[in-house]
Amino acid sequence: MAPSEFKTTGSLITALFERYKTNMQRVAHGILKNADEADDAVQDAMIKIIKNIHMVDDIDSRRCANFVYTIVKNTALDVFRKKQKEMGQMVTNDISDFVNIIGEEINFDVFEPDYGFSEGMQEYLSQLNEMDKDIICLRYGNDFSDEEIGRLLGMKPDAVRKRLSRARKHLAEIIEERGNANG
Amino acid sequence: MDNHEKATEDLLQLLGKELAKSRETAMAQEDQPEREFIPVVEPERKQKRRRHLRQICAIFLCGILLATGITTVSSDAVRAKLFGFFFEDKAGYTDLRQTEPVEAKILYPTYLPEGYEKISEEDIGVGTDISYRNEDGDVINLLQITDSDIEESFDTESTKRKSCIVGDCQGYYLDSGGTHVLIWEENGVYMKITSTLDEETMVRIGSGLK
Repeated sequence: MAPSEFKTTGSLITALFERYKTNMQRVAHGILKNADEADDAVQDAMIKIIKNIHMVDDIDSRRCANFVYTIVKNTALDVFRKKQKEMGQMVTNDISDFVNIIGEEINFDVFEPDYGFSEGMQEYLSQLNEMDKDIICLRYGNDFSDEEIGRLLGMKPDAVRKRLSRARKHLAEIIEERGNANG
Repeated sequence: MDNHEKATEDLLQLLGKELAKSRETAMAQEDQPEREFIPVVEPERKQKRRRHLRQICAIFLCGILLATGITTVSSDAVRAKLFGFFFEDKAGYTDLRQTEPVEAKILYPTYLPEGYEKISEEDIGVGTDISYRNEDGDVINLLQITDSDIEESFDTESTKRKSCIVGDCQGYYLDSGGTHVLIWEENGVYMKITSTLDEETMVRIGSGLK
């Protein structure tokens, strides 16, 4: 349903929350492993969603699903990192070793027929951090602009462009390495 | 664009789409056992609430806040506003006036009680969040908000409020039992100290920021 179909912004927000609340809890719980903390993270995520509600096109669209997912995942990760700091643990950038992030089940077979790059893509994806994955997904998978991505991830648009450029360069290096290895 | 660059771009496109598809699947509407979404409530509150209506009303109030151009700063403030104000019907809230966006340098304490050391400093987009901690695990949090259109709400039913002077500025000291909050505006910057310290110590910290 598009925002224009809702009489008020409040009803749009309510519908969005009803649509995604269970999944938001599941994503947050996968990271935090604690129901109360996950609920807090969902609440915090809803505040961020409300601040950016103008980016919602259709609450049932892939774009909206990714928008909500990105916000709740990063909110939960922020809570996780803060907990690590408070417990005096090393804050690691490679967070995937410690948390279960759902929504990253990629079918690598699609990279094989035209590019022969199934293994190469697995290697590339394993080396990307969460922020770079978000940027690639939002930019290429959902057509968000650099400014919109910056707002969602708390970065300046220039920083988004720089990270994308580095990700592109890194992928090119893997392609070249594999090309050289295959002769 | 040469072939190499094209291949890179094509692969990124494909990866982006696959990630988007995977995340959409993770957020797909399906029959899942619904876990009760329980807000944080104090044990003394004994009123019975309908869970579904509570969720709808909480989100609807957020929508009203958005419509009137008010942005709450912290999730704690939102919980106070949503659950204290709406459900108890008796809680009032304190409004702080809006500030114009300012570019201000970050202030640091010249005085801290013995044993406190800095543990973090974060640019949170709308300002800066600095934390200090002692060996006992007590934390002093210093928040400096430079963004405009800020309003923060406090549940005055469970919080004692007292006006005070921080440096040359009018401020408020809020005591909700365990956590104490000192808030004031200085040169257009919204300042907030959160800790378990007493009023005198917090005012001394706030007055000594440079």
